[in-house]
Amino acid sequence: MNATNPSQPPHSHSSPGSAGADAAASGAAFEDSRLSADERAHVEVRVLSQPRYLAGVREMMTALAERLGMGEGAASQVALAVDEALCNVIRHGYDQRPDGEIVISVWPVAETPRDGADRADSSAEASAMLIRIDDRGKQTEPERIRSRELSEIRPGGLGVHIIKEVMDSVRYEKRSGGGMRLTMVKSVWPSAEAGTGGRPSGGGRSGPESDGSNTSLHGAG
Amino acid sequence: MQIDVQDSSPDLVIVTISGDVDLSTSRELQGELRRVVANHPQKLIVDLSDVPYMDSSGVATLVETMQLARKGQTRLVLTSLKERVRSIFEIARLDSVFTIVDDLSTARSL
Repeated sequence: MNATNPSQPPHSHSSPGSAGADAAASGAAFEDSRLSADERAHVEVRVLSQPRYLAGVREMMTALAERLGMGEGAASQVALAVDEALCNVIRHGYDQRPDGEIVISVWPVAETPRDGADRADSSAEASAMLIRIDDRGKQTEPERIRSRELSEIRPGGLGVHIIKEVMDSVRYEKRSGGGMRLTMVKSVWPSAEAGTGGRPSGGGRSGPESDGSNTSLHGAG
Repeated sequence: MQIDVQDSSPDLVIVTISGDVDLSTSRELQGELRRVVANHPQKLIVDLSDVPYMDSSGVATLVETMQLARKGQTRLVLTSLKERVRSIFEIARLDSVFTIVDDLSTARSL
């Protein structure tokens, strides 16, 4: 199982990009035949830089996050972060061109449990979701990608702020083969206490067998 | 996304949006709201009760509308935000910048 191999990129703990530097340098998302099975993304989606596909990507990301154990609120935040990231790639990376390629890759991350968690075998469980978004668009120095001053009320510039606000870690880097890479991680754990609060379900994709799947993901305790 | 504009009176225009507001739909919304604000109604109510999702492009559209409305002496009121949509405004720290109310009747009475 992947969780037993600590050297693979997605399993770095709080800093997803550090162990993934090699993969980043190789621009792996577009050339993943060179990767071993452990390094390959569990889910990979290629999408063109067209806003009409955003809704479909959001639905998929929400469903995936819920399958990895997130609550509805956290899962919708993952979808929001990915949506905002894709918007930025479409607008700034590809200057609204409709033929730019974007690859979204997802890994479950196995981490040590937080304090007070009573997971029996946490090392084998997904405790976070790692998402990478690669493009071949214009490159920008990562330090120049900043959210704007929020006190300045004006349209635009909110996407990066939203991404940083809802995800636990966010890292931009230039891909050596061209384009940018965004790596984001969100922990699965807060979903347990956050709950769904009886909010009406937008996606309704958590599945009728959620009892069973939750048990297998969260452990028997 | 669908946009319904009720502008039977110069005093009050109600814009009701249905569907997700994201990068694929926000430009259409922007055009419609610009057109409405250009007529300088006294009050513009934007009903978001049927908007399950909004991203920053939708928020940016509403920020622009607010700024245009202020210039034209129009009072802008957002109403009936779903939790998920409201949270975007909170994350962007814009929830206190807009006038946001729970329901249409409150929006009308302001």
